[in-house]
Amino acid sequence: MKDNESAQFPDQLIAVYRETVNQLYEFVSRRAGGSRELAEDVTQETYLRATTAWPKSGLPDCPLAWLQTVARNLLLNHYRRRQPAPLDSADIDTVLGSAASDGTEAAALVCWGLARLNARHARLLEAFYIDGRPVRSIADDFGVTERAIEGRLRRARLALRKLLLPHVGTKGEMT
Amino acid sequence: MNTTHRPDPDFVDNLERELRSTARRQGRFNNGPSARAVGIRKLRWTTGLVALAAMCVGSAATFAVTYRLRGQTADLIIARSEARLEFADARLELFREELQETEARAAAGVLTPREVDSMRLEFAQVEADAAARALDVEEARITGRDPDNSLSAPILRGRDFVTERLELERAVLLQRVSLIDKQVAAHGSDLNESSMMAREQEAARAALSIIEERLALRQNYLSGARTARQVELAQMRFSVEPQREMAARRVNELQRQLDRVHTLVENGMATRSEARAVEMEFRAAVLQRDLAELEMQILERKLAEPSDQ
Repeated sequence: MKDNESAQFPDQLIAVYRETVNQLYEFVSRRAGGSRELAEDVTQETYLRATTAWPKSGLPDCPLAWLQTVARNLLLNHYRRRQPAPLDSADIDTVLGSAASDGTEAAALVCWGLARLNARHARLLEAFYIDGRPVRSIADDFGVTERAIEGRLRRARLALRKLLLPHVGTKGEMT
Repeated sequence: MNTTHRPDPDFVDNLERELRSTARRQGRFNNGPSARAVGIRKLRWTTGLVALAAMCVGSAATFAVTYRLRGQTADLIIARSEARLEFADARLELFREELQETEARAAAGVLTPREVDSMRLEFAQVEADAAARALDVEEARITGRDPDNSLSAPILRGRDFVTERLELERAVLLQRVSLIDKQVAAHGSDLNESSMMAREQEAARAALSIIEERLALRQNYLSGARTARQVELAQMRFSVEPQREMAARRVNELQRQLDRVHTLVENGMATRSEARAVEMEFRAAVLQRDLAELEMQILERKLAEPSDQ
């Protein structure tokens, strides 16, 4: 980074921060299973990493995408390190269905499972359950048909269910 | 945004303070690396330099030249866009004075309200151009490249320059359509005048619908409803469609001319060479139409096929 750019960096960083903080926090919070503490820690750590990385590499073209990728990796690391709290009274469909709703333990459990799935399945389920995006929109992003996405979702769901079954109640039948 | 997923304002403020002080404290962008890092780096360089010297000289020279050229290119692009903005601003000032004078002359009864409206429209166009050039400068300063006006261009530091430029165009076209509508209503009885205006009205509405379609495609892309490939192809289709329609109209028109000239030849009122000239023109128009049709078909097929499977 040149000298004059270096001098401007704190202002640029704050401008990006103000533009992105709400969206990044929402992105993290949806994956933090209702834990405000976790959401705040991850958000804070993500921006601190940006203060170290951006002066060297320059501001990315799409800072929010960069921040979301870092936040996602931080969350994955967090979930990989810990055991999930079991959900006694819920069945698997309820767990998956309520993952996108606000502040549920189900979301935390799903995120824990996603951290252990392969990246392709995880991304797909994340888009569908955590971000609540419709199949058509996901299909457009992946550049495939809705039918193909439905097939992939079905396979990804099965893989996730296998992972989550030991952590949910007795009604966790696979469909 | 759902309130559950909204950050606590205190958290946001505290983090902003922390980031600002961290960014300033680090000051690492001006300072060199730490002493330890320098030591390690020196050692590595000393051992590796002998073996790699010959290769490094060539690579470093290439890199330095490329880096310098890239920097110079960015500076040139920014300087060029700033110069364009200056021209646009100067033009805007001239038009502002011209508009004031036109309004004054209209108030004195020398010019008609219609002439004032036309001048206002021209001024709005020039004003929108200047605003678009200002956006170009902002974009060039961020990217160091020429403005990217494609529908799949990325958002830059939270700014959607493509939509902003399209909105400027849209505002001017809306003004144009409304002015023409007003003029059509005022000249309803004059047949020549109204038919000319109807054509203008049609052209202005078509231009507006193109901009609105581009805006919709851009929003589709940003919302994730369409991929970059899909919006670019859809845009291509949208620009080919009017060409196809125009070519089809031309074929119909020439077909009528050809029938007429054949009748004239049969009656001995036109020569065969005159008929051949019209035939040639007709064939060229048919070819033009078929090419546009083909282009549309290719685009339709490309749009229908999945991009990655």
